[in-house]
Amino acid sequence: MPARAPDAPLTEWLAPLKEGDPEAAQKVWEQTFQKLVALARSRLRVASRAAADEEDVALSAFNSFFNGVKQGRFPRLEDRGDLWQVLLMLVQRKAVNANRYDARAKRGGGKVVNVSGTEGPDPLASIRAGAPTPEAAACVAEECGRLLELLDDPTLRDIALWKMEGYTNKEIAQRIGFVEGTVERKLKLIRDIWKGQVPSDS
Amino acid sequence: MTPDPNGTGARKAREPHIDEFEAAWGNGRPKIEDFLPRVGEHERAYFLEDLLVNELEIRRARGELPAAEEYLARFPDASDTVRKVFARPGTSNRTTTLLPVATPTRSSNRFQPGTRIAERFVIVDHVGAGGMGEVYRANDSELHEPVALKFLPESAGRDPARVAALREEVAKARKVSHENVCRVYDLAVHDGMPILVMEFVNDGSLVSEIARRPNKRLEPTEVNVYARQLCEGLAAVHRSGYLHRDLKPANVLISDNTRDRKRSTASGPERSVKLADFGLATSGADLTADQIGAGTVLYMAPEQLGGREVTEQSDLFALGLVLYELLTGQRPFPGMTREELARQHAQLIPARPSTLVAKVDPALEQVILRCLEHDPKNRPGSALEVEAALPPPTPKEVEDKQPSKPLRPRVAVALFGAVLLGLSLLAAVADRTMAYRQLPEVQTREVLSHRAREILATLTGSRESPGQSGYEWDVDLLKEVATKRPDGWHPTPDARAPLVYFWYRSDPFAPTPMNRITPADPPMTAKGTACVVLDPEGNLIEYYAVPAREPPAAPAGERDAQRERCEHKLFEVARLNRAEFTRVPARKRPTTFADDVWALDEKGGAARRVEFASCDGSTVYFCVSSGRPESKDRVEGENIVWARDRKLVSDVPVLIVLFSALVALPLAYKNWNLGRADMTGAVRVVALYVGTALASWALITQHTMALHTERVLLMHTLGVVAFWGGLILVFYLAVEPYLRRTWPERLSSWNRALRGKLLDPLVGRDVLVGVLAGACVVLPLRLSAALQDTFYLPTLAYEPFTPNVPSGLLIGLAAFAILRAAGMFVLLLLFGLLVRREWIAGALVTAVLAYGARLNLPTMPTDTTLTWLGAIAFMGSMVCVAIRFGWLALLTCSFVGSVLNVMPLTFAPHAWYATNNAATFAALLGLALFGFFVSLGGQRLLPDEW
Repeated sequence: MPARAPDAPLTEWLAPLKEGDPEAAQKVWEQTFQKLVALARSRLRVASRAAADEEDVALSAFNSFFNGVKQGRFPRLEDRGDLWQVLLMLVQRKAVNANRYDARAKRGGGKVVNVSGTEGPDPLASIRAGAPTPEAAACVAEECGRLLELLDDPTLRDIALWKMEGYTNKEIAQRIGFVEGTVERKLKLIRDIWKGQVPSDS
Repeated sequence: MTPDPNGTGARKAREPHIDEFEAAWGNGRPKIEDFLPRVGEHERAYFLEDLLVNELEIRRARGELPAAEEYLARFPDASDTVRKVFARPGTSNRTTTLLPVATPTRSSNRFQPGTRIAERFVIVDHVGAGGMGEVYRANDSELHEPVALKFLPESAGRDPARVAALREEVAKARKVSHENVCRVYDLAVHDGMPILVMEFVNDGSLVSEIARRPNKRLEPTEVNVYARQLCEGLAAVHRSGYLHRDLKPANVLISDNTRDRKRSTASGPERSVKLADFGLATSGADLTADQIGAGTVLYMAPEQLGGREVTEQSDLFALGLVLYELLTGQRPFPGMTREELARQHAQLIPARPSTLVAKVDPALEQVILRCLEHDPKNRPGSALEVEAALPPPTPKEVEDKQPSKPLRPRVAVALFGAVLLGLSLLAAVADRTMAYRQLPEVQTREVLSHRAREILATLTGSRESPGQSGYEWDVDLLKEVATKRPDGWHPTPDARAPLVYFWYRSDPFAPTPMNRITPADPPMTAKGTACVVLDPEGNLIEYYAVPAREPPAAPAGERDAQRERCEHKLFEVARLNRAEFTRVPARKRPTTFADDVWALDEKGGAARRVEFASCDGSTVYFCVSSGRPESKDRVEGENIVWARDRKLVSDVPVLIVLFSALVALPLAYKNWNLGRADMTGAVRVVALYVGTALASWALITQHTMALHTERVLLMHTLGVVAFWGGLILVFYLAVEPYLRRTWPERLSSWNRALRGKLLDPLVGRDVLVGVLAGACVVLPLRLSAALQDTFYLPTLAYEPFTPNVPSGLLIGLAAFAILRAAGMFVLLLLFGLLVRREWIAGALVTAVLAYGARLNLPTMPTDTTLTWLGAIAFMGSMVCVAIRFGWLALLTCSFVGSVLNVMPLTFAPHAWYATNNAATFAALLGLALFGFFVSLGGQRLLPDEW
């Protein structure tokens, strides 16, 4: 199981639901997402008051997610290679790695980005349970902000955000005035850039 | 170590290029080949894949059907990538067609690239399918040229009668050769299928052109350009006895001329349209003519739909429909079935395009609506009539109107030789026919000024007398000699009656003239002002001084003693012998104040007479004349009369010009508003005029150190230049578009020169021809003068030419030539509008100009047949140059003619004006050489074996 689980944290979690009723799965995801975004947003707001600019990207991202949620727009679960899946997978992988790292030796180094505030082995456990904790939300938000920073190209960042807000490729294509194929290509690039962030096991 | 060419870093770095490629589709057709070199070799394959995927999606979204073969041919090294992209799921059938095109027959794409057809043509690509059948791009393996193969329906091939008819049509169609008609080469047969072999046109049709535009229409200026080409193509088809019968956007192909030739040598339009499928429609595609999908019925005239007689006007109706659609993006008649269309085409009045689209030229709108008249009789008479009614072509089109074909070396050498011969002939003739040659040796300005200052120092006692000077004609004497006394051209030595005199004027303070400083401008009123007039050798012939205002404190002595003193001084200065003269009563008073006036006549009935006037004992007026009672003062007499005449000569045209400017102003505004005016060209012409006029002023005028005089001179010049410059601007904007519309080919080389293409062979040809013509046009009047026992003098409007004339005059003549050429073209245009026949207009303009030229010949009788003939030959040949070679040649001709008139060439080294030979020869020969070399366009003069 551990070989498969980190690859598909959401699919695995929602798989039984989806098999039965895709509508229900989407609904669960939407509720969880709503809570996740709201929590992350409030958490980030507090954090950014005190701390640094890096949070701003995450904050503005979560503000736009929040607006999307208010307008009833949720990320579609069945979208192939959904960016949320990549994001959550990254969060989970990091947590696993961090735990393994800590478990192997108390080296005291901080090389691996530590998922702050998470005690348990899997920060997504609470999300999967449908009741994300503020810590888990903050963890997701932080990672989301960091990944958006990583793109350092306004178009790529816009496309990533819109996609995570639940816009379809076609809508995004219209927004940026390019053909759909271009949006697909850029999304693939974004996913690949993000997947490149997965800390290697060795 | 090279980074992974498909890693995220590399891909991210490629993104901006791909985005740029996609954005470039918004305004044209970017070429993948242009983008590929932007990345390193090892990344190319991935980059090509991305670009290809992108391009295919865009092209399919536009309704095109890109074929793998096309790309395989373009990227032979990357066939794997191309195949991979074309094999991708979801990319093949995501097409949406925007305009009705015939569905391809089931057997479409039956020939793969590389297939050999009719043993001669190798298929390259499937281009499309139309109402008549499939079209392939192929290579003619014998002539190595791309051709288009159109496979006609197999049914046509089975019927021998139809094949025979087709063959006949093709034989006829081959004869139509025009750049706006797609050429038909041959009829080939493959497997019993007739195939039309046609010219391959590389950039789609008007259908794809419209489809690629965001609002599905073209800009009005583009429509105008295409409309002109369509008219010319259609006219060529009609000329060869054809009717097109099937004119529609799909049959108007677009050729991107920049693809096939190097940009540096480009001439001709960048994109042109070509009419395809003319005449063949009836025999080739009548099977599908009734189907709306073929698109044919949509563009049929009402008489065509009604089955009545089809004429040229039916094609013009289709042309009107096509232009209407290009202009507005919609069809004027909404019907889709034959019945609907028949009714609408015969009854509906289409909406005016200007109500649908902004900035439509009314001329374009009007001619389109005329083409769409229901009754063929109300439509324009021919395609050329439509073209003539279109708004004027753009300056760019005019530039491209004539091919920039270099002259054949033989012709160029002949022309250049003729120029040399002509100039030599003129130099020989000038010595016998020009009035200049008859004048005595004239001293230079420096020598005469020095002499004048010496005289003034002796007479007034002042040591320094700075002043202004100039040469002038003795107009009355000149006219008298020219008409009544042929012997007067060779006056007796020291007769003190020269045809040309020199004046020197000294003022106590720098004078402020009304126009330019002369002995009469400003009038001599200030105490201390003095003026001397010398003959060409430096002998005193007149002297003026303004007396002091206050009388002397003590009365001067005896009147006779006073006269003696005056005479003693003046006779000495004037180098005359007092003993040869005896006192007589004075016949006239001088213009200055004087209290004593007397005169002396030469003893023994000799010609000379001396006049004196004095005030308070000092001489204020002295004059030596020929002694005839009618002789007048040079400075205050005939000069004033002549000044009045001269002003009249310059005032009448100015008034005419001012009045016509009032007419031209709204016209210029209208042209500018409609986008017809050539603002760039106008500004450049004005800049050229202002530059030459100011440069010539700066070089010719005698500048002084007195700032306020200089300022007045400068202000006056600026005023004149601004006045004419402004008028040129208005006239250029107002008249040039009409010239462009009427005679585009006559402005071709001018527009090229104006836009910096000075090294274009056509520019060279016109300059060379202009120089030759200039050398020829000045001959007739000289011969006419010689036949009438007199000598030719072009005009009195210039100061008599002096040995050390500033070369700035050449520039001034150039500025004048611009005005003259423009004037002649305006006259040609106006008379052309009045009489509608070019040769009659030319004859009328010649008559008017000859009438005017005749009046401006001071040394020739005005009413003799010979003078008339000379003037007519002079102006007539200029008009011919204008009509045959256009504006640039006329401009050069006018300039060269002026130079040859004002600065004549001579073979006599002792002639007083011989010093100008160098400047004149250099200017004319330089121009001719420039024309000669440029007209060759880089060809070698001698064959290689030399």
